[in-house]
Amino acid sequence: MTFDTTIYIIAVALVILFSYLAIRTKSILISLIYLVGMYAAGAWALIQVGAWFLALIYLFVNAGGVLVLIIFASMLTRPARDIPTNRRITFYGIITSTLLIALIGYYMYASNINYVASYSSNYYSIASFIFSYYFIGIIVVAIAALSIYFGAIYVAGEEK
Amino acid sequence: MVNLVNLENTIFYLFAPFILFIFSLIVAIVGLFKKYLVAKILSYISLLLALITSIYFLSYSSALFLFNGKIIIDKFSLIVWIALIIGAFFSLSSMENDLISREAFPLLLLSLSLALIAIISRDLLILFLAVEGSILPTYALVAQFKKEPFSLEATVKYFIFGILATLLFAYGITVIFGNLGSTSFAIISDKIPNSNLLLSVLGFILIILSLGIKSTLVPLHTWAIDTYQGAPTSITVFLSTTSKILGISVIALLITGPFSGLYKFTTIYYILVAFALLTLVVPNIAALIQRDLKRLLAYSSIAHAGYMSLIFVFPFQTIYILGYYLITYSIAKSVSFMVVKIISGEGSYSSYDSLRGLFKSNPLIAFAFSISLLSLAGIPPFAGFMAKFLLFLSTALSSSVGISLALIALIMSGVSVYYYVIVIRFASSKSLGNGNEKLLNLSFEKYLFLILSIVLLIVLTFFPNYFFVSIPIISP
Amino acid sequence: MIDVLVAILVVLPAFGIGIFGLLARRHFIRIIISVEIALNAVILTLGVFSALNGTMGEAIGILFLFIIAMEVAIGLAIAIQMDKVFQTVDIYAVRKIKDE
Repeated sequence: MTFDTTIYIIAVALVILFSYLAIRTKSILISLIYLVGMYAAGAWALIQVGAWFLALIYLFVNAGGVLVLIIFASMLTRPARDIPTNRRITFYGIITSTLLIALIGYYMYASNINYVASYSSNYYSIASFIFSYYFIGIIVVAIAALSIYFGAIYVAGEEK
Repeated sequence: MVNLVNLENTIFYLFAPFILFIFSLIVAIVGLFKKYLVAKILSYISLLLALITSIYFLSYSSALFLFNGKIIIDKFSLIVWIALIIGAFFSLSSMENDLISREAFPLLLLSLSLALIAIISRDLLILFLAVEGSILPTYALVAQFKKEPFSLEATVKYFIFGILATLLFAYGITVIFGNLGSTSFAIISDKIPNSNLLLSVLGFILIILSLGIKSTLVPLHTWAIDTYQGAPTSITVFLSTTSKILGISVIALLITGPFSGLYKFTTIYYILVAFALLTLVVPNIAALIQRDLKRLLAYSSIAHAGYMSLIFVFPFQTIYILGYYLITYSIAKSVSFMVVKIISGEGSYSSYDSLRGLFKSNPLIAFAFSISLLSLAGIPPFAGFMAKFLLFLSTALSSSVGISLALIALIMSGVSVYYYVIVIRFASSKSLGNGNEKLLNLSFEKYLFLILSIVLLIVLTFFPNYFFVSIPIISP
Repeated sequence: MIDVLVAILVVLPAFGIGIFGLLARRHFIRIIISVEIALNAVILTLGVFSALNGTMGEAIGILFLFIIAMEVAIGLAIAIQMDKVFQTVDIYAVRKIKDE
């Protein structure tokens, strides 16, 4: 286990810590602050792997777009504090998610990939991927974004 | 160097999705001026253009390739296009402008446009983007009724399960990309035999779970009952035909395409057999005790997903019938929900009593309703009978597990006749004593579609061979 | 130089926390935050795999980020509508409507 891997594990441990705190806090706005911490730690983990371009876009979209949206929506909705669930539902939720990640983790562990990779982002080749053969992907995302504009504005808007 | 795409080929082959996109913009602008009739006519024109395009491309003898094999338009994709467009036609004709306001038409056209792109894509990334992009407008479409609480409950359940499906699909693509180095179908199907089998199986299981949520296979079907009941009935027409057909065809595309070498040897086969078995048995039994018309039709659409999922177990021998089954299912299910809309409006509760006296007062509507229900049940001489007959026969001829599955499907189809016939019996009984039911005044297009569906469901029985599809082509 | 197996196993608890929040929480905004957490775990896994397999992983990650932002947008529109009709975003309050 190399030194880079150790730093990556520290970054991902911060991600897990912040995400756990974001789930467990009682107030929605405080959990959004922990979400910002999670984004920062996630960007650090991505930079550690070497994909700095992806970390850049990740921070732009998440911390600049999604987070602002969630803050505004949580200010417009009631209640501002989390509502407790009963213990049985929480227990079943923990069992289901633990089973799912145990299944995924077992398959990944038993598959024995043991590569060690080193990498740095090349935005020129990312652009040549997206704009040459995956051009239809950008078109599809654009059409989906247009439908979200119509749909979200209609659903959240006022009735005349 | 960056390769430039061939622009005129692109616009010509992808004419149907693009024309739907452009018309949705025009319809949105026209809707701003509140000219709903013009908007509806423009939507019909765009759907008709898409249908004509797909029928025209059927006359080509070879498949059409775009983007170096990332998009392939072959006969399988074109027949599924026709089934998707039929669902959208019926959904559009059952919308009225006083209940569904101006944003429903562009959202419908956009969702259909992305569903068309999803079927012709031969790359996991584009498939994911198009399937998610086709589902996103339907979240907004189901939430149309802003005042009725049950519609909102349907939206919340639909949203939560849809997000779960997105998560699983995204993780599946990540694992497959990490294992094989590419998401293109051609490269995946070449590299799977020599690669790390466990990771590929994991990715495939995650993708199948996600698509199973979307096409309402049974342990993952619980969102569909409340969503189909709570959504406005015109939108239920669209959801139960186009979204379900999209889910089933994408699973069929993946099974016969990139992952065809994978499932014969591993636990995926057992998972798919279990899904097919549960989806055959559970909805038919649960539908016997329903008392609400929309819930009954929702359970029946889940049961039909079960019949379609017989194909997943032996895809190479049985996929030829999938196109025909999808077209007949789409016509019959759309007509049944459309008649529910005509009789009970867009609301969530429609008891059987509203059907009483239908044959006496509106014979055309009752006739179309009965024919569509009999076609769904699989009674001859309607098209559903030929589709089910060919499907069960080809499943039984494929292997020993196939014989037992086809037998169970036949028994369950017989069980389903019972609940369809109950509904038809209500329609033919005398009306309750509150006077004569007046003749419902339908617009011209609804008459046209009802008559067209009666004719099609009888005529298509005798010509199934025009709709036989072959295995989808995945590499140029 | 990252050891890929350790890297992808370490991100799994974040995905699990996101799935747990999606299944077991009552407040709708908290459900959306959990979906954010789970999808960000997927992006981190994709970053590691792109270090293994080339730049295509980053292109996939960028397109996933777009889809994530769109899902959050429509989810929050539904949350605002839920607040208008029920005066709360508790999904249990929505569930009690059906009386069958």
